[in-house]
Amino acid sequence: MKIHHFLTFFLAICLISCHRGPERRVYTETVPATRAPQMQIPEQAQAPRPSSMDFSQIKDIPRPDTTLSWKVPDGWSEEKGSGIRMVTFRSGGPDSVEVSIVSLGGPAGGLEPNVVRWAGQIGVAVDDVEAFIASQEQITTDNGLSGRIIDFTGLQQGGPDSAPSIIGAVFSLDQNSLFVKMTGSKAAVTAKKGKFRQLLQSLKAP
Amino acid sequence: MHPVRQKLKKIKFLEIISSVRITVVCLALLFILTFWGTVAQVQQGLYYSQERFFNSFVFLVGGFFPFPGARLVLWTLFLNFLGVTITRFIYQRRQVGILVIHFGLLLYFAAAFVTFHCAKESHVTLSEGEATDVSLSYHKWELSVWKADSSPRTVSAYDADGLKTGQTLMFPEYGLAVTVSQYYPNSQAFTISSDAQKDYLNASGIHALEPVHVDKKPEENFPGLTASVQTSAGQKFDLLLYGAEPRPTSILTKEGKVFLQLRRRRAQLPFLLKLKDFRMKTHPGTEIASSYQSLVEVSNDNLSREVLISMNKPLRYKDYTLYQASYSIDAAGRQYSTLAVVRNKGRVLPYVASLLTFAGLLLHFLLQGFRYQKRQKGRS
Repeated sequence: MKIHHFLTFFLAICLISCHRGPERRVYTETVPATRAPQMQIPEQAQAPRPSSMDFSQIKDIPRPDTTLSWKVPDGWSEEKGSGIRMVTFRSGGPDSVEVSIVSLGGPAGGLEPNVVRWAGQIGVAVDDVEAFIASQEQITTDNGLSGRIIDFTGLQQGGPDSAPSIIGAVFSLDQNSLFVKMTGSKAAVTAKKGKFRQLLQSLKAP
Repeated sequence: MHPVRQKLKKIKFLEIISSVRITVVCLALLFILTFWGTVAQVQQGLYYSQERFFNSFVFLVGGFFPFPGARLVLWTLFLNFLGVTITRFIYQRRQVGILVIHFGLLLYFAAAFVTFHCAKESHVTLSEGEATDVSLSYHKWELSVWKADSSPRTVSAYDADGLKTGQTLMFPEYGLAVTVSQYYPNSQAFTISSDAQKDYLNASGIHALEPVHVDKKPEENFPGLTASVQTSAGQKFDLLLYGAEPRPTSILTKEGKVFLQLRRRRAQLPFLLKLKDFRMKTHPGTEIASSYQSLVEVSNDNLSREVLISMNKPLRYKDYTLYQASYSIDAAGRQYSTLAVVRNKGRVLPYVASLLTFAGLLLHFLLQGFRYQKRQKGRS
């Protein structure tokens, strides 16, 4: 065999071996309990999304209702929202909190995945999500809206006051879901919980 | 000298490569590379330094000046040793010690070759009471799909490295075909984007991905993927997955709920590893760890044993070695132990090479000693 025959053969073998497609692997996995994420996803606004949905029904999901009204708590400022974030409130002061209201059509993935997502944003692990949600306070606003306040500060006992924290509330309306979220340090959101509740009580939907 | 060796000795290449000067230059270069690479990893990170100084044949200094990497130096040194063994050695009984030493050194090179090409590094992170039978890659990612969100579960996965636009990944057991639209080795995700063009399905509310320059430190890179997914029932939807997402995205198909996630590549372990206890000691008056150790239970085939892994006492199981690597505490105060998992099929080779070299040294000194005694007796 001449040298160029050998080289051609060698090149052909190389080319064939380079064109292998991706290979699928199958394995069995024993999964540890739910973990806090290592990294938070930056957000320009909060937008809870469905984690599971039947796509044959996607056309039927109604548009978010934007006729919600509220009363701004004393000392808080209000900023007009954009996109699906309807409004943003800030408490001001050195250790301020930010409160956002987001309205999404339909159940928006439901309460459980959104609670897990919020927990992930502050690096808190929730072992039994259903039990955690069941233990949270229910609220009925002055206008008769029913929802649940999700307070993550209870899961951060023993942690530093400066740790990021969330107190949120989720309301299921007829055609959409309301997500009200207060973010800030653990000490700040704990201190502002009273005013957050005032804001929730003042929410009015048509 | 054997006639074949005499012929080999006349080959110019073997004559050049067997030069002692090459040995000296290579050893000097190895010294420089080891020192330089060790110092550089403080600024540039462990992985990047390893790739630049030790896993490369040549790298550029200052962007233009080529400098030999450790791979080139070690190959040259290997050929040098091999050349010397073939052409220059005097195969006599009195030189047997030197010969064994050189075979030991050549075995070191073989061990390095096997380790470099076959060893796989990954890690396991567990909190007390948790168990797992897979380890996570440090730098590689996979697109994985499973059906039941239970444990244990069967997972189907494709390696994400090198995914290309238009590539279709088939998951026949779940009736899914995933066609890659975009794959970014490093990306930034946004929950709201003014230029979001599609209504992506995503568990974390991500609307858009933006490619980011791939970082020199692979642990800083988080890949992102957009894809078109088609089910066996003909449903079509657009999917977005991001490497930093803690939760998988699920879809409801006719076959039931299926979960998809872009996550660190998993490697199956041949045992179930359970963290029973994690202990950490700190230096008095500080939060700095002075020592930490993990009590683990290793189970396989209905047999289980407890092993205490500490800083210099790894767990060895067949060709797996588990080292205590790190620990972390989450916001809820829960402690996690991280164990580095190294699978090296040639892990015994360096020990054999060391023994062989030691035996060669011993043999050589003994033979020299006997010869010296013999000479002394002859003189007297």
